[in-house]
Formats: sequence, C-alpha cells, structure tokens
Amino acid sequence: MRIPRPFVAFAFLAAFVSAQDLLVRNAKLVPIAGPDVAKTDVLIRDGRIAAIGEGLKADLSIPVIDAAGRTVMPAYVLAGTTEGLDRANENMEITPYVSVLDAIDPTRPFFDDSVRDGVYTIHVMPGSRTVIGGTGRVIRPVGRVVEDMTIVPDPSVTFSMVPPQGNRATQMAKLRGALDDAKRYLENKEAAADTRPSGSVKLDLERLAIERRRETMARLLKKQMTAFTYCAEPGDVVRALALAKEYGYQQRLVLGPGTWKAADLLAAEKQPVIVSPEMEAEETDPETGKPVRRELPAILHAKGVPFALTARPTSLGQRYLWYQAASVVRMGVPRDVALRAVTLTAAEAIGLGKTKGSIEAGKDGDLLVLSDDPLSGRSWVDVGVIEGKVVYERRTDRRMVEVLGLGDGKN
Amino acid sequence: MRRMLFILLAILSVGFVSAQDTKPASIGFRVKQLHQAPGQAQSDVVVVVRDGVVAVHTGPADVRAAMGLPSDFEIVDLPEGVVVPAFVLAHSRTLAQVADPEESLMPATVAADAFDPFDDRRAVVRGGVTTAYLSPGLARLVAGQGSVVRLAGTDVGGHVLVRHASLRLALTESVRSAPNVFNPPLIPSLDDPIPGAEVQPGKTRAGALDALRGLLRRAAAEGRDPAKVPDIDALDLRPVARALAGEFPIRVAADRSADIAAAIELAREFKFKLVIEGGNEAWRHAADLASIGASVVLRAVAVPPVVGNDIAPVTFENGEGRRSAAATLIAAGVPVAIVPPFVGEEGEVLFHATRLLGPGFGTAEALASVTTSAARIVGLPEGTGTIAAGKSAEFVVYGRNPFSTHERPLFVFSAGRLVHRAKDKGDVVAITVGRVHTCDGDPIDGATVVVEDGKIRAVGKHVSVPAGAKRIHRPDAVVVPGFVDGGTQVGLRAYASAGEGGLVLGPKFGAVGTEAPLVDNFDRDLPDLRAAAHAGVTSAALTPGFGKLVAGGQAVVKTGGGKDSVLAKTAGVVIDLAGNAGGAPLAKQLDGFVESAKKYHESWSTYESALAEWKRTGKAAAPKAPESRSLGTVTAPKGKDPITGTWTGEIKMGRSPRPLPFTMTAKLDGTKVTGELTLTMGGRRGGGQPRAMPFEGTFEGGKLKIEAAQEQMTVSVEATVGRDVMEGTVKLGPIGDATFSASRGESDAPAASGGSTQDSKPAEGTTTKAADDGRPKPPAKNDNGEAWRAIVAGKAAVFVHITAEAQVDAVVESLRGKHDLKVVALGTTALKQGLQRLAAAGVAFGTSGEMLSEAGMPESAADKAFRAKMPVVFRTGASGDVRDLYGIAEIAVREGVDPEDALRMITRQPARFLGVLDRVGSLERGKDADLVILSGEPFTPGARVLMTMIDGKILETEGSR
Amino acid sequence: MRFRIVAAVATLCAVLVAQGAPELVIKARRLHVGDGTTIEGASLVIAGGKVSAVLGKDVAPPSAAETIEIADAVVTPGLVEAESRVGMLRGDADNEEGRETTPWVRALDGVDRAHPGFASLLHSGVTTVVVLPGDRNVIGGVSCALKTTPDAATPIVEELALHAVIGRGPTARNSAFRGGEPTMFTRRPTTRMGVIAELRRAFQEAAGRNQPGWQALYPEREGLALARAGRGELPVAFVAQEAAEILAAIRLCTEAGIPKYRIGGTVESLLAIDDLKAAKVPVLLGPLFNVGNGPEKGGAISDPRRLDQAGVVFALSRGTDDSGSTLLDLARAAHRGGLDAGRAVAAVTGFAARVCGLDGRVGTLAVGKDADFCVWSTDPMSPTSRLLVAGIGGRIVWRDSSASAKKE
Repeated sequence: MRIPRPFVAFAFLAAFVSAQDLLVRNAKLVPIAGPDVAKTDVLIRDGRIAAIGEGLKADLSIPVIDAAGRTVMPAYVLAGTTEGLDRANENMEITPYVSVLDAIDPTRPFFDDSVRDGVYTIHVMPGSRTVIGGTGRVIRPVGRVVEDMTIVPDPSVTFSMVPPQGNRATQMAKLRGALDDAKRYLENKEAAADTRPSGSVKLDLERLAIERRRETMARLLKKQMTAFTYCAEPGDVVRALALAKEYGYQQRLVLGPGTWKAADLLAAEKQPVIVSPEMEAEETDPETGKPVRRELPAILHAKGVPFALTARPTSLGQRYLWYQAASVVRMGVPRDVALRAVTLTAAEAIGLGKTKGSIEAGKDGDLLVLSDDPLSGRSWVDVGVIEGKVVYERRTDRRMVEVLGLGDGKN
Repeated sequence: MRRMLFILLAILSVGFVSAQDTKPASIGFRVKQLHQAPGQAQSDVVVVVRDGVVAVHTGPADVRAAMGLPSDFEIVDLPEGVVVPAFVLAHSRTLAQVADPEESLMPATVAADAFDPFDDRRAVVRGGVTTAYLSPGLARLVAGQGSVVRLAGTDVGGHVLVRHASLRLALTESVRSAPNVFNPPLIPSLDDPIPGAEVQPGKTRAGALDALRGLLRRAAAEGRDPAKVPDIDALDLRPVARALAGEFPIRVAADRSADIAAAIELAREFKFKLVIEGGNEAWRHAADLASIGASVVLRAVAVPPVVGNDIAPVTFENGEGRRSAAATLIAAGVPVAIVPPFVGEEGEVLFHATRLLGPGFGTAEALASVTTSAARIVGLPEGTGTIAAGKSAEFVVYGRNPFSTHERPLFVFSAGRLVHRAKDKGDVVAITVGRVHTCDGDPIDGATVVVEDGKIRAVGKHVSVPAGAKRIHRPDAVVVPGFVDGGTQVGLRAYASAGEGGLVLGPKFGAVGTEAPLVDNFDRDLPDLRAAAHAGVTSAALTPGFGKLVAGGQAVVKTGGGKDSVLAKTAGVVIDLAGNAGGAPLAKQLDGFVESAKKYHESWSTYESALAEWKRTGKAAAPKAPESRSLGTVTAPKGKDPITGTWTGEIKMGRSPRPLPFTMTAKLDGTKVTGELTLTMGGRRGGGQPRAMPFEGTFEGGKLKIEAAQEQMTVSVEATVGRDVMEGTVKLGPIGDATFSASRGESDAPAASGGSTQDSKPAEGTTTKAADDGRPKPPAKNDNGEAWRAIVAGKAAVFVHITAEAQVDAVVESLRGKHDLKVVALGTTALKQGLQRLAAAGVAFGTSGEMLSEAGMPESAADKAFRAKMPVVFRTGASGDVRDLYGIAEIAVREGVDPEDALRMITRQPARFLGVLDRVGSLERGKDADLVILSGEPFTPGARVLMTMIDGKILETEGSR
Repeated sequence: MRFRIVAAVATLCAVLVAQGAPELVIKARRLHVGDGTTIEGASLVIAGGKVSAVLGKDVAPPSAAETIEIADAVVTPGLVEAESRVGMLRGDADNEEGRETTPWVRALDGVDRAHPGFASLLHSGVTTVVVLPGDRNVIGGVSCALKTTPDAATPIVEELALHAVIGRGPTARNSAFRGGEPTMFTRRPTTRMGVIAELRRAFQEAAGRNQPGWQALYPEREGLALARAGRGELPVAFVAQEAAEILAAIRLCTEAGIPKYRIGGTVESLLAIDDLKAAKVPVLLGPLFNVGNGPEKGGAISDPRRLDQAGVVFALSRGTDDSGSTLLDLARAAHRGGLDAGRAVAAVTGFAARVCGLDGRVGTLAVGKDADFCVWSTDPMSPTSRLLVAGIGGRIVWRDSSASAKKE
C-alpha cells in the first residue's frame, strides 16, 4: 500500500465557492500595477478581472457597484502571520510534520476582522520559537472549514534562526541535522523502488509518522515548498542565505528590525523579504552612546530590496496593514512602494504574484471599495470582494452600524 | 520632501554599514623597528602598504622615488615606531553567541555559525587582534567544533578562515552541572514508552571520561565514513571521526593536573592531536605534553610573582598557575599560545603575554605566543603571524615599544585593510624633552609632559601616553612652567605709535583705588598679551601704579586670550606708603584695613557655610508657609539674648521624605521662655494647615525645654541652643519622636566695630538671613571687600611700597605680626634700611630688577634679598614691559642667584604670593597646562623660547611646528 | 457635534502681546490650538518660553532669533499624557505595601526622572506627562506632572491628584493569610466590594476630618492627605474600568462630598454616559480598540465621539497599556471613530490638560501658556505624519534628524 500523501487530499477541493461576475463603476482606482486612475470601471467575470476602462458595457444580469467618489484597490495580502491558530509554537524543536491545517480555527474573531479590514489573502504559518516549526497555508478569511478557506495548501515550512536559549551554532547544527536527514531520506527513497506488496494489512503507524515527518523536508529539498526563515539579527541573514544555498531550497526571509545591517546582502539576493510587524530597532550608537532608531523598511527601500509588510492585532496601529503602510510612508518610503508592500509585493513573497495583489486583467477579482484614500486613516472598507463575490458590506455590518455607529459613511 | 527624507535615510544607513568594509589600504610608515616574525627584527625601515600588499624599504633613498610611489603617498613618520605582526587570539568565548545548550554532547555544533559578522568588535580590533578562535561553548562535555574567524577587514562571507578548527571537549568542573533533558519518542508505544528526563553523562570526572571514551570508541568504529549521514535522532559522530583522522586537533579544556593527565591518556589511547585549553597546571606535565606533540592555549596568570616560590594559586578550583608556566612549557618543547584571563580583555592579548616576561620567556616568546604559535595551534596556515613583502597587510603599528605597559596600537591592518586607526586625540599632547623643570622638585631629565583638556595630566620619565596623542619630541629642549609676572599692566595698555621710533607702550594706569578694579579695564584682545605669551609669560598680575595709600587691587590674567582669561579677580592689594610718617598711626591704620576686611570675609564665610548647609539639608527644605509666618511677627530685640526672636526650622519625621516646617517666636525672661509654636502640617504647597500653640519652658545651661498643647496635639521640645541655631528632639503627640533643627531669623547683626574712616574701608557684611525659601541671603558685595578677600583668606599678599624706614616696623608689626598676612615689600628703600627686619618677619621682596648702589658698586636688589632669605617675586611693574621678565631673572643669575632659584622667582614665587599656585607656577598634575619650551637650559646664552603653551593651546613661535 | 467657526477664531487670535523680543517663530500650514479649533496658515510666536502670540494668515509675524518654516508643517501643542507609569519601577515594586491606602506616598519620590521612557515619550510628541503611583493599592498615593525635558524630566506639579483604584489592580492575586510566608498578596481586599469599602472608609475620613471634633480613623499622615481631598485641595483621580466601577466612584464622591474628582482608565464609559454627564465628572478614556471583538480590553474607537456629542468632558490617555501604541495613535483612532480632527488633537492636548487640572499652563497654544509645541510633517491625524520638531518652554528639545539635515 502506498502511503497516502496527505496534501493530495486537497486536489479535489474546488476553488472557493462559485466564482462570480461583478461590475464596479466610476471608481478612483489604485491598481498597484500602474498609476492611479481618476475614474474608471472594473469588470469581473468568473471571478477574474476581465476588463478595466471607462464606460464598460456588461450584461444587465451582472451586479453593479457604483463607486463614484470612492477608491477601489486590490484586497490586502498578509504575507505571514500566526494569527487564527490556537497556539503558534509546538514545544518540540523540530516539527516539520505539523501543519496549521490542524490548528486554524475559522471562528476566530481574527478572520471577522480580516473580512472587515479587507485582508483577503492570508499566509498563516507556525511560530518561530522552534528550529523547524511546521507547514503553513495560504487562506482567505471566509469559509466554514479550513478546506473552504484554503487558497494554497502547503506552500511553506517555518524555519527559525533564533534559538530559544541563545546558542545560534547549535540551532544551525540542528537545522543541518534535519536537512541532512531529509537529503539521505530522499536519496534512499529514490534509490529503492517500492517493493512492498499491495494489499498489506498491517498499518505501520510509527513508520508512517516518521515517513510523514520527513516528507515535508523532502518536498522542501525538491523545491515544492518554500522555507520561511525568521531572522532577528544580521548574522541570522548570513546563515540563512548560506544554508539555503548549501542545501538548495527556496527561501523567503522574515526579518526582525535588527537585521537592517544586512541590507546589502539582501539587495544582492533580489528576492522579496517579509518585514515583521515590529519595524523599528532602538539601538545605542557605540560611538556616542546615544539611542538611534533604525527603520528597517526605509533602509531596505534605500537598498532596493522589495519588501512586504505584516501586521499583528495586539496594538492599535500595528494591527492594520494600511496603518503599517502609512507608517512606512512616515519613514520616508514613497507611497506606491508602501502600498505595494501590503498588496503586490506581499503576494509575490508568497508566490501568488500572478493572481493576487493588483488589479490587472486576468488576475483574481479580489478588490476593496474604500470610502477614502487607503492611507488617510479615516478610510473604511465599504465593500469587500473576493473573486467577484461581495463578502462584506459596511452598511450591513452589525458591529459597524450598531456598536460603532459608523455604518453609514457619514462619520 | 519625502524623496529628500528617503535620500537622507539612505545616506545615514549606508554610512554605518560601510564602516566595516573599507578598501585595501595604501599608506606607509617610517619606523624604528620592524618585527617580521618573533625574534627577527629589522631597524630603520619604511613599511609600505600598497593596495593592501606589504613592501619594505630600507636604505637612505627616498622611499617614494625608490618604490615609484606618487608624491602625495602618505608616509607616517614614527621615529620610535615599531611594527609587529597582527595578533591571533587563540581562545575566546564572547565573540560568538554560544550560550550553552541543554545537550551535553553536541559535536555537530560549529562555532562559526554563532558568529555575527555585523557585530561591533572594534574594542578587540583596536588592541591589534585581527583573528580569533571561537569556542563553540563552555560548560558542556562536547560543545562542538571551534572555528577561526577574521574579526574585521573582509566582506561578509570571507570572515571564516578555519571552519573546523578543533573538536572541543571539557574536563573542567563546569561540565558537571549539565541539565537533565526530556526527549520523548515521537509516537510512544509499549516498546518505546515515554521516559523520564534523561540524566546526561559527566556528572563526575570518572563519568565524564567514561562518556568521552565511549564516544571516541564509537566514532573510531563507525563514524569513519564522512558521507554517512546519521539518523536525525542519532548523535552525529562525523566530527569526532574527522578529529580522530587527524583533520583537526581535539581541544580539551582542563586546568587541574588530574584532568590534564586524563586528557594526555585519552590522546595516547586514541592517537589524536591534543591542545590543552586553560592549562593552569599544564606545566606539571610539560614533558608528557611534549612527548605526544600537544600544545597549550594558556590562560595568562594575573597575580604578581611570589618571591622564592613561583607557585601562585589562580583560583582554588582551577588548580595552581605559575607565571613561569609558559617558560616551562616552551623549554620542554610545547608550543604555547597566551590568552587573556578575563572576559572583556580580548583585545589586550599582547599586554597579558608581556605580563609573563621572565627567564625563558622574553619578548620574542611573548610575541610568538600571540602570533606564530597561536596561529599554528588554531590551525591557521604556516606563515600566519609574520610579515613578509608581497603578502597582504596583517600587522600592527605602535608609536613606541609595543612591550611597554603604556603603549597601544596606532594602526591595525587586517587582510590588507586598515581596520583601526587610533583617533587623533587633538586635545592630548605629549611633550618629550631633554629636561623638565617642574619648579616643584628637582628637574627631571628625559621627561614627558602629557597635557589633556588644557590641564597637565602627567609629568615624568615613565608616563602613560594615550594612543593618538599629538607628540612633540625635542630631546635637546627644556620645558619650564609658563612665567608669571608678579605685577604689570599687560592687557591694559595698548601699544602706541612712537613715530620713527616704532611702537611703545601706551600710557600706564596710576593708582586707581580698590573701588575701581583694574581688571574691569582688561582687554583680552590687546596685542601686548600675545607679545607677552611669545616671551613665555603665560600669567600676569595686573597692578596699579603708585600714588595713593590704597593704590588698588590686583588681578591675575592669562595672556592666551580667550574668554577665561581672568584667572583670579582678586590677587592682592597694592599699598603705597609714600609720604606716610609710619610708626604707630600707620600700624593702626593698617589694622583698621585688615579688621574690616576680616569682617567682610567672615560674613561671606558664614554665608557660604550656611549656604552649604542649606544645600545639604535644603533639598527638602520647606518653603515658608506665609500663614505661619504671620503668626510670628514678634521682632527680637537687639542684644545678646540667645533665645528671643523668631526661629524657623524643620522637623525631620522618621522615614518621611518631607520635613515638617515650623516657626517659633520666643521670649526669654531670666530662665523662663514663653512664646508660640506654629506647625504646618499636611503638605507644603498651599495645602498646609498651620497650627499655632502657645508654650512655656525653660532655658538653662544652653538647653531649651518647652511644652505646648492644643486639641489632640502635644509637643515637647528639648534643644541645645547655639549661636542663632538650635537642634534637638521633639515629641509630637500622636505622631511620635523626631529630630529638628532651627535657626533664628532675626537677631543682632555683628556690631560694627573699630575700622578706619578711610574711603577704602571694606564695608561690613550683613548677617546671614533666611530668604523666603530658607536659602541664606548673600551679604552685600563691594569692591573694597572683594579686593581684600584673598588676602585675609591667607592666599594672596599685600604688596606694600615702602618708602621710608619708619614704615618698616609698622608694616611688620601690623600686617605680619598681628594679622599674619602674606606681605610683599616693594621698593629698594625697604632693603636698604629694613632688610634684616623684613627678612626675619618673613616678608617677601617684589622687584623689577632694580640695582642698589652701595659704595659705588652696583648690586642686584633681588640677589641681596635672596641671600637674606627673603622670597623674591619678579614683577615688571606698572611702567615696565612684560616681555622683560625673563631678562630680569637672567640678570639676577648673572648677579649670583642660582638659575633654578631665578626660575622660581618668575614662576612659582609670584604664583604663590598672588594666591594662584593651585593653578599655575609649576608643572604638576592637575594644574593648568601653561608651559614654555626653551631651546636650552634657562638663562644659558642663546636659550630662547621655542614654544609657549597656555591652557593646553600651543602658540606657534620659533622652531615649533 | 459642535461646529466652530474657525475663521473667526483665527482673526481673534491675531493678538500680539508684548512680552519682549520673540525668540522663536513657527510658521505652519495649520495650527491646532488644542481646544478643538484650528487656524489655517498660522504663525506661533514664542517669547520668554511662553506663547506670546498666535497670528492668522493675514498678519506678518515679527522677526525672531529663530524661525521654523517647513512646507506643509502642522503645529500642535505638546501632547499631554494624562496617565503613565513612566520612570517608575516595573511590576509591583513601586507599590507601598504597608497599607491598602497609602495617600501620603508621592509618585514624584519614586520616579526616575532620567528614565529613557521620558525620551521615548518626547519622541512621540508628549511634552507633559502625569506619573501615577502604583495601582496595587486602593489609594496608591499622589500623582505628579512632569515635562519630558531631555536628560531629566522636570516636575511642574509635585502633588497633582490622589490616585484611587476601583478596578482589578488592588484585588488581583490577593488572598487571605492562612499560614505560610506573608507576601504583598496576603492581604485585603479581595473583592470589588472590599475595595469600595476601603475607599468609603477613607472618604469618610476625608469628609470628617475637616469638621470640628472629628475623631480620626486614620493616622495623621494619611488623614491629612485625605482631608485635603475632602476640601478639594487635592483632586481624587479614580481608575475605574467598568461601568459599575465608574458608578461606584460617582457614588462614593457624592456620599462623602468630595468636591473635585475625575475618572480614568475607563473602558465602559459609554455605558455610564448619562451618569457621567449628570455628575459633570471629567473622564480619561483608556486604551481604544477598533471594531475588534477579540480578547483585548478596550473601549471602542467611536466612544470619544459619542462622549463628546453628549457633552462629557473627556480626554484620551494610554493608561498602563504597553502594547506599543502611542498617545497619538489613540487620537488617530478617535478620529477614525468619527471625532473631528481638531477635537481629536485636543483630546490628547488641551482636553487632557483640562481633565488633569494642568490647563493653566499646558495643553493649548493660547497666549501666556507654556510654549510646548510639536511640528508635524503633515496633519498629525494622518498616519503618515512624522514629528519633525518638539519644543518645551520655547526651547527646541527634539529635532528629527532628517528634518534638521533638510534645514541646512
């Protein structure tokens, strides 16, 4: 009997719901892919953007949203988060075999908030307090069960260069150990043909489990998955890059603010990076002894490193991607780069640059109708659309209308 | 604007990162000595670094021409300079993040992986260390593999020199405390149940050795195939096998003799290359270590040698170290690398090696222990730790002997890049000359004066000079203190044009009296100040001309210009007795001056001590509560009554941070005291509730006892009463005991007494009196009083112009005898008629070099006074030219005064009688850096001022540059 | 919603008070006065460390020793952080354990004025901060107000208000002493009832001590501080999160006749809005969160707007929230929740000063007030706005490095 590969199970899952048609008229468009357009229409057919232009014609059967005086932009993309899980970190060090599939709770308020805030592509991944954390998943915040929500089933595995106890060399030795093990497993597997007779009745649970926990790493080495590696210090970046090169796997770096010194190395890589929600490092200048504030996104931008921003719900500002983008503008980064960092670059960072993150013909019809400019601070999502389907309307949002009195767009 | 911000940010961030990777250096050094390798030196060479590559030039030819260097190629001249190879630190535990993991056995850990090339390690590189061995951990049995990295000077990625430099085992005490680990199986089953936490091996020495032996055996048996990747849960034995195959040594941390012996046993059994790390007692096994070709990374011993018995316990647990351990090991043929004993001293590796200098361990051995030997032990390629033409620059440049305790590197090169250049310490100047006359003791030959921040930091033959200090090296020159003119009018009189005759000094100031201080006319920008400075005069007293009894007060100024030019606002008073009949009336007159001056001075001392007291206690001093004040308006009658009056004070309540303010109005009648006590409770900002309560009490034998009561409050006070102050204890009814102190606000002012009716009489001070916030009020200031303050304080002198014999006794009796003031007699009359009396009374003599003419033979007044044991103060006088000061002293020498004494007459003595000896007048640590560099011994023919320094600033003159 | 005729105010403000030569003039695209109004194209004139004039667009400012003119810049008063623990020891270490009520304890005596937290506050625009004593006691002590001057904060009011806590602080982790080592947790009170009972006892003392013949319940040092509160000399500042606690504070003060008090840290102020309005008690709103229905405890971002519309005197404060939001983030949240921009700025400047009783000196850029100001790259209610310059007492104490570079 062949051991079933768990992820094969998702093949039968059709794309999210039935894709729909929609026409948005008279919008001020922030397409991200190009310059802003003062007034235009966007037509979505079968869940994909079919056309952009003024005065588009469509069947009478297609629902129309009049966005006059409002701004339309692609839905936000969150390139990495541990929200929506019951707990982010396993208490063992090397657990590539665990998956967020088994931990995402669709009833979490995080998903409600994401719908309200227009974050429609979310890469949920395990925490970084292990050596190898487990596999992540790209989902949309709507759906009854995780399978409904899923966009990409097993795109990533979480690596951490930051040891819980402080010996980075040991952390590296453990990562190497796991990768060596996977390499050997892969070689042995390819060498040995499957000689087991079919119809075996004994299910070797232990063997199955061991095989399965190696499978993730094997897929990583076969470049079917990407390692998302958390780095807190510039030296972590050096090590992470060296390790990926040594073992030949795909990698995305998730950066703490202290990594700003390695910006030159990152620039040479020419790959998008993910900036963790904490973006500024408070350091002491060794010469003057005075505190200095280092703003990682500003430095990355200066070096030409494309970056995606992330958010976390614990504090007032950092919980919104638009607020993070505005903060980056405050640091001196141009507005278009900041907006890309929460849409297109974020989509590219999770391998969805072809379908998400901008309003272009052929891409998924994920868009937001905003009451104002995205960075204004008083902008609300009036209508949220995923693949042509309206998933959110502010005027019918009980919480906005009744609790906050902000449903009518007048305040 | 945003674009602007972004560009700025970009520049800011780039600036920091690029600090690490500078381009290959191009610079040369003309030095006294080049150590190409330990024990191999070359003298008088130019070491050139060209695009990072070393070349050495000898011989007299111009280096630029000989080597085809561009004419602007930077060659640093270091006449005493020494170049040595850069240092290799053979063990470090802080340069990488290697906190000990849980596991006792982690051979796969590689220390290089914990090294962050972006960390700031300038503190280590500054010491000349460019390469370091990183330990993979400390307190675990098998911590992993050590690595060797370059600390600076390469691009990221090029920093790892030897990735697998050793396998590190430890036999020290610290491995005994490894934690237990919990490592459950992934899927527990009956066959594979969940275990308890696992005790790790090595809790005892025997256990540790057993575990190590087991590990080595297993590795020897099954770990030989380096391609064989172990199962993820199995221990990775490949590094152990590689060490056993001789790819790199096994380094064993061991200090005690038994541990070292065990390590030697293991090495013999498994035939690996052994390096002992730590090695306090390795000297006991020198022969054994030599026999198996082992090396030692020796932690330097920091204790001083013990006479007759070289064994010095380093720490009790770590066995016995010896200062001679390195020599013993080297003698037996064991290569030794020295490492510093303390964390934080990583950059001081050469210093710690030189501390071990002794028989069998000379400078060559010391240098080898931190260069070639260290490089060999950590596995660096042969030739590391030496300097050779054609190689990339890896060396350290010292300004002087690198083995001296004071010296620090000026330049450090690593991989052809200049990675450290001692910061130019513009404010530190070291002047080394043939002789220094400090005027504080004997002259010192071949001494150095170190000046920092305008002050003298050190003077002596062996003084520490900070790296990067500006050096002035004049072996033929002599340094003397800056000259101090005891009285002149520099800075008061501008040069005036004299037509054909050039420039002459402008009109002098006459007697101005003390109420119009001369210093108010001082102009720090007048050109004669600069002339004075060029003539070596760095300080001068401003003195009035004669013509009035109180001719005026003196002040001391610096001639260097700048805003702090006035050194002392009051530096003695000049009294001109011309025309005075002398005798008893003069004595009385002088007494009058002094007594009112003393009163004035006292009022200030009282104020100052009150202020100091107020500041000490007053931080928490309560501001006056207005309500409570109004209750105590009884004015104290003037008189000698110690109690009557209004007292204000504070009660200190136990641990309460705030004292409780109170006022008391009291009236003394015999021994009975009555009055009212007012306490302000509950806060001090407007919220206080004053409570007034009448009291009765007694005052006997300096003790005051009173009782008061109101509502629930009872107060009883016991106090000792002094003059306008009292302190004691107070019992506050419901609150408890406390201490208090108080002072009387209104009482007698010290009665005005005696005094002269002269206009010059200093006004008496007013009494210290509490201001609203309790702060004492200063007495009224007046210029007369000010002029006298330094004098009555015993600092400055009264300069008395004596014009008749009759005046001598009055001066001696009053000023010296009665008041014990410092007195400087001016005028030759004083010498003619009162030399013996003045000398006996300790009066000094101030002169501008006048000559006496007795019996037709000219004679120097200064010499005469000096021989009579009168201190002599040279002053060019109100009408003289300050530039003559040195010449005046020179003539005194010609007349018979010793040069050293004559020098003091224009330095130390004037400073002493002007009350500024704490700042100028001699070369002592902490004093102002005012000095003169002379081309030769003072007062020898042709000696001239080469350079004058005032407050650390150099005035360029002849020959300086 | 209150409507203000901004233009009229701008003209009125064009009053120059002779106060010596001005030392600093700041030209701004817009100036937030701090009382809810704004003036377009204003100049702020500073002399003697005070605001000497606020000039409208039509009046040319006088020449001064220094002039700051940055395109698009918006000036606000320095922000006033009305509740903070900055400079105090972390955790429970600055709670006086001797009694449940420690009204004599002064926060000023415990605060480390050189703590780097003050610099962080300044860098986020806060120039005045009220530091509270610990909140593990029912009455923790007396708060103080400081300016966030560099190197060491400068006290401006040493004894600002008596700090009383009705919330969870005093009861958290408390338990009765049953053998074992007594710690600070083995003590009363253990319930909200207990906290309020303790407060009631203290307030009876406060009321009674000011009447003749009162037999003191409390030792002198506590009693005297309470008596000051009873007379209104020392306002009482409550921390009360929930509606029931807010009502309890109002009830207690009504019973004891405490004349001056305010309520801070409120999360459920909206539920008690009618009572707050009736009692005319000013409130400090605690941390705000958006529409999130997550686990966090905080008011909704629309609360400030609703309290403002109801006429309740309010201000925003970060309280002891340490999630990384700044005071300005709170104002932006309130603005997002519908509060007019001028009033949102006022909620962290003039209103905050008024609630704390510091409005005589700080909080607004009115003539005669301390010249504490912030210059922002654009309106601070926009999240893209950056603090460029901050000044205290007319002296520039912080300058954004990129802004100063730009100046040259």
